[in-house]
Amino acid sequence: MYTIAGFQVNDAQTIDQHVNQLKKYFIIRGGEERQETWKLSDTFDWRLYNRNLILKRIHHHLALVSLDNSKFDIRQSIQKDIRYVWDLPDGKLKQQLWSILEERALLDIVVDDVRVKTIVVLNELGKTVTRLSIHRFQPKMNITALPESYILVHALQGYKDESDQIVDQLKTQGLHQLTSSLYAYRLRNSDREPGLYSTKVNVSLSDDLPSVEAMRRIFQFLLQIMKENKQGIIEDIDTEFLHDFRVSLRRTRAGLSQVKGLYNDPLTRHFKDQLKKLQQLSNRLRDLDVYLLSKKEFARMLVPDLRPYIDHLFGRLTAEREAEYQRVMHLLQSDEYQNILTTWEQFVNKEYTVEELGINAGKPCKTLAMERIYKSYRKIIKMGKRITDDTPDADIHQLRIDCKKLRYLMEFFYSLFPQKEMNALSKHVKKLQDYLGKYNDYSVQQTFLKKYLDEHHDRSKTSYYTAAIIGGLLEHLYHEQKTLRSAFHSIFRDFSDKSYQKQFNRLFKL
Amino acid sequence: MISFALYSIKGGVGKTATAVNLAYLAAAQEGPCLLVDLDPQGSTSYYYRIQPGKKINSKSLAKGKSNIPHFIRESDFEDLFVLPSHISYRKLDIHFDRIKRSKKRIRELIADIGRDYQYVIIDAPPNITLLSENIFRGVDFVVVPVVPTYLSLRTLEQLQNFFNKQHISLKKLVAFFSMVDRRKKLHRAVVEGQDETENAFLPIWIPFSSAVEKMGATRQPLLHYDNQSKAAQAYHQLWDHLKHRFVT
Ligand SMILES: Nc1ncnc2c1ncn2[C@@H]1O[C@H](COP(=O)(O)OP(=O)(O)O)[C@@H](O)[C@H]1O
Ligand SMILES: [Mg+2]
Repeated sequence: MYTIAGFQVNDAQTIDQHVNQLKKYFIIRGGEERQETWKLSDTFDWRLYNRNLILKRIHHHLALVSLDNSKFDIRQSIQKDIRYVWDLPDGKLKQQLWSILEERALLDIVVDDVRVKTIVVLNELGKTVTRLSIHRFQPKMNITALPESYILVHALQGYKDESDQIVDQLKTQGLHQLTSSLYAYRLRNSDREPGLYSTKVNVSLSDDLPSVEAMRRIFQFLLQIMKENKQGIIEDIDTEFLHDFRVSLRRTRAGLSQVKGLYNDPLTRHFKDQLKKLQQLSNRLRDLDVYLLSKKEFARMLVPDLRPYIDHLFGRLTAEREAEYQRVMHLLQSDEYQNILTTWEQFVNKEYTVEELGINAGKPCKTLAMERIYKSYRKIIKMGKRITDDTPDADIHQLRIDCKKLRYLMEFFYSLFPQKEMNALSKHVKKLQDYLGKYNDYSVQQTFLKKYLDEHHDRSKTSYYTAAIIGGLLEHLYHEQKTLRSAFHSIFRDFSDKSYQKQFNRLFKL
Repeated sequence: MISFALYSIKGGVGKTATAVNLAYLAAAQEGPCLLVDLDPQGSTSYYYRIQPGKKINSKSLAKGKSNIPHFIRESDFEDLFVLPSHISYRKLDIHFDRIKRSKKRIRELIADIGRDYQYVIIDAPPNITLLSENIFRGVDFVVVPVVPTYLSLRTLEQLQNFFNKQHISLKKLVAFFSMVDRRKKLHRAVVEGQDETENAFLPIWIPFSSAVEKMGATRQPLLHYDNQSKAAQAYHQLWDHLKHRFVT
């Protein structure tokens, strides 16, 4: 059975009339009416909605359904509430959802109480050839308001013609046909606008806008993201709230340090220090989150004999993560840390006095953007060329940080340059950045594990196993990193290719 | 996907009654189920009130035309689909005879259309023909209802001999007693005299019951309108035993 059409009934009291009219032409049997609770869920960042899907839950039945009227429908019955994909029993739904949601939690976007009445249409043999369902959604706020009502037409395989006749008849009766599935209509009742969330800086600027005003808009955008994610961090809904918060914070800090001379020096320094302090508060928490999420990857790095013991290490990490979370939450909600963001917000939104402004504040933003991007790019080219096989890791890490800064600058000022070329160049820089990011991950992981080894050396059996695990991981990480390092020159050669240098010059050189 | 056929050399032993009710249970408990009516008499289709599509015929079935799914009809019950019978199936045997490698046709058909289902259940016509041989080879299990008479036991033996001769695994064969009337001395004697292990008989029998006969008038599976009757309970048990057999 699949839904082929839906109709909205403006006046719920006319439903019976519509059904009676159908009875003139078709054999209709009324079914029983039942009460259902519908929950439509998605992630905070609308991963399902943006793929034209939604997860529907009615009592014990879960289904991934399409938002247009297509047959797509993966079902699964469940015993308990599902918050993460890993709570689901193994099967097709779990597999499909994992590829879309990953570690993100499912939130109830809309919860509806609905009375559903099923009506069947029979042929002359008494065989059901079409089903109709009448949905009356209980109004939430205004009890006296009429329920929103819909009639859905469901076709049975092999009886499409019969259903089409019903659809035609309902159209003639003057009902308004829905253009997408009923779920899409219900999503409009959500508190949040469906589909609207992205951490990607999306601010359109004009060339002559004073730089301080351009950056004000970008800072406002980033602040908005931080604020939206705060509740999710406090409720510990999933790890990505903190992640998105931190990414926006880092972008803000890069804005302050890379787009120089917006405010006077003491002010710039003050906010740089304050925001850095805020970022550092959750460094370890984020690290622990990342480790816990990559348990499977770590297990794969080990020889099979050691794999089962990885639970020892991860059990401890889980406990540590819980303690760290409590610590961070306590501080994050303290006046000291709360003030950091509130004063920054006040500052971002205020009218500046002349004394508060820096030397570049009035400069047209396109000019400043070109200066900063070009300089940042040249710096990377220069540094990269100096790197040999003997260069210490610290220099490679510095290169990674500079590469990131360049990416942020290009994101901030994306709207000022031709889109196509910006996309291509961003991709180009991302390649190097990904490489360096991976290299850095290996370093950070090794440092983390070594430190862990130093700090946990009681004489329990668990500790021995954990030590063996760490030994295995360190060995693997060390070799992987070495292999990666040997690829540096070819990666950097691609990055500094003449044709790209030319393109950078053309776009950003003043 | 698991496929099985209800089969017997004899007619009137309860094949169709069983296929109709087991398919109903399979769909309700296990998810999408396809009931294939290969008997030209079309009793299964009749019970589900499904008429064949106009263009379905034995030739397209035998040749494995890809338009078969087009003829599948959704029943009144969730997850239960029926491929209805057609009068032209009388000639299926002739068509199979004309096709090379025809012995694999049913197997290919099941593999092809069965992808979307948890179970494919075939209501097969009686007699031993090329078509039935095809079915034996094509399905995972052949489920045989046996009315408890000595004559019926002999036809089961004939079937076992045929399997042996054609090198079809006897493990596929599952038998159970059907239409058992406890008031009849003969029925009691035959049922109780059966050694389960030896003759592939499941330790369960379907009683002779007027509730089953009523299906002809209601045109619905017994389990839908009378789930509490003794016969209905017996179908439940039969299904549980079969499921157990399928996985071991
Ligand atoms: N357990 C039963 N008790 C009483 N009547 C039955 C039972 N099973 C089948 N019948 C009836 O016997 C007749 C033949 O059964 P059917 O299932 O059509 O046999 P087959 O498919 O083997 O020819 C039908 O009229 C049917 O209603
Ligand atoms: Mg029959």
